Formats: sequence, C-alpha cells, structure tokens
Amino acid sequence: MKNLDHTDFDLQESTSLPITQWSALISSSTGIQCASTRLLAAQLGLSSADAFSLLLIHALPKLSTGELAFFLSSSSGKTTQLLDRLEKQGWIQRSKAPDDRRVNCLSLAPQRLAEFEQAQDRAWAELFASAPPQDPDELRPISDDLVLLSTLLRSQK
Amino acid sequence: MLNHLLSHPSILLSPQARRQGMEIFFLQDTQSISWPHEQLRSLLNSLSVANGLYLALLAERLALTSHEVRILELLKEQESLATGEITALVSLSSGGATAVLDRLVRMCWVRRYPDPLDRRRICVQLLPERKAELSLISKQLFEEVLSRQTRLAEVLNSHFPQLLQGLQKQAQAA
Repeated sequence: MKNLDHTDFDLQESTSLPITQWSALISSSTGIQCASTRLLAAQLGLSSADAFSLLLIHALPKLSTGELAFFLSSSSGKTTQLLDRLEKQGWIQRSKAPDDRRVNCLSLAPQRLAEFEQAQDRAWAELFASAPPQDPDELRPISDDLVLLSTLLRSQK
Repeated sequence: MLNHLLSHPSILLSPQARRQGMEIFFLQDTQSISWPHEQLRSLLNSLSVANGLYLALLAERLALTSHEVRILELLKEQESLATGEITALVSLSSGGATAVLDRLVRMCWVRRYPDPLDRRRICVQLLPERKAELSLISKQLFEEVLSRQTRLAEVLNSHFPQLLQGLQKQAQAA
C-alpha cells in the first residue's frame, strides 16, 4: 500500500467533485472497516483497537501519538497505554520526529512487518473467501484514489 | 454502492464459519497464499484507513465517540440492525454496546423497537431526521476536504467511472 503522507501534497483552491458519491462511498464502507479490523485482530491475536492502531501506523508515515489518539477518539493517556503494550509485544517502535524532538513518530517494527502483512492477507482473504474479485487489477485506480483521499482526511485533523 | 459488500454474509459470520470457506478457497494449503491479490489488499487497506480517518473527523464534529459514530454510520446504511448484530459488527461486549446505544437513545439519535416478527429481538434504527443531519454533516466534511485540492479532484474525477465499475463488479461477485 502506498504511504499516506499529507505533506506530499499542495493544497489549492476550488474544484467540482462528485462529493455526494465520495461521501457515500466512504461512509458506506464502515461495515467493511469494522469487519476487516475484526478479522485482522483475530489473525494477530489482538484487540480490535490494537489491530486498528497497527493498521493506521502501517499506512500513515510519521504518525504521531497525538494523531493516533485523535483517530482512535481516545485520550492521550489511554493511547500511550495502548502503544506501550504494542511496543512491549514488539509490534511498533517510537522515534523522535526529526523536526520536533518533543513529538514521537510511530512505525511498525521491521522485524514484525512481514508477519503483519501476512496476517492482513489472511484476514482480507477471509472477508472475501466466497466472493473473490473477478479482475483485481482493475482495483488499482480505486486504491490510488482512496490513498489520496486518506491523505486529505488526515490533513483535516 | 457497497451495500452488496456490506450485506455479504461473511461480514456477520463467525471467524470459525468463515475459516471453513477459506480452507476450501486455499485448497487446504493456508501456507501458500496466492490470494487476495495485491490490488485487493491495497483496496481494503485504503478503504479501512480512509473510513477510520473519516469516522474520527465525523466524531469530532458531532461530539460523539468513535463507537457511537461507527454505529450511526452502520445504521445509516442498513436501515435497522438487531442489538446483537451491532455488538458483533463493532466488536463491543454486550454490556458495552448497550451502554453506547443507551447514550444514542438519550441523545435522540436512534430508537429501539421490538422486531415485529420476533418480539424477543430488539432492533435499533437511526431516526430519519437525524439520518438527514448525519448525511449533511458527512457531505460538508467531504466538501471541505476535497474542495481544497485541485490535483486530487482531477485524479478522482478521472478515475471515478472506473471506481464505480470496479465496485459494481465486486458487488456482483459478492
């Protein structure tokens, strides 16, 4: 998956978009997000909150503890506890942001990256076990669009 | 659009039940994973992340928790859900889901009612006037996000027909 770094994009003005359709697409994917997180959690042997945190840390480069707390709708203290737990289990690592040493950047621990991605594969396969896509190559532009969309959603925080 | 996927049986089935299907799919060799295709994995990742970020922003605007917003969004798509289904979908305990639903009822977001076909089953429905409000705030959020990004808009517009086509194929397959 592409990384979602909102600093890569220049924000400009005005456009005409099928906003209603995009809004419908993303909001109607809540069921899929719930199911995929639940299946990923089962594959990893973690809680849904822990699995979703790993999903975000994997997808969003330079994610800070504060950002993660916001995206989990969780307090700073609870998020720190969650991160302590994941770090203790060897899933994540914290590093100081190069431009602001007060900020902790989160990343998936390299030694567990392959394990995480394999668990994702199994979870997603489980979700679509009885209905595989007819031509997965056609999904590429959709994914690319969603990556860009996530980038902008992240920048709204 | 994604309603077919959302109503896909695998979303509500237990992991054990789904695993049976997976074993058949992988021809009893779960080690040599040749599926899902890279593109599908990428799509599901992107969709999950985008949805998660969207829910967090929506929760902030509505002054609700992520669980509350998640349930409202599910109800917006499904018309009504049984309390047991909600518990399973959002990975909450029965007590936790009851507490969240109590709050949503108190804040006049949802109503509970007995299933007319089985009065032991309690259904939950998003109130119609609140559904419109939720859709409006969601639309406003996307307007704010997307109206500031011409380059993204161009990309999205150029790919939107493909997006629809791809999702329709997915839905047909499901």
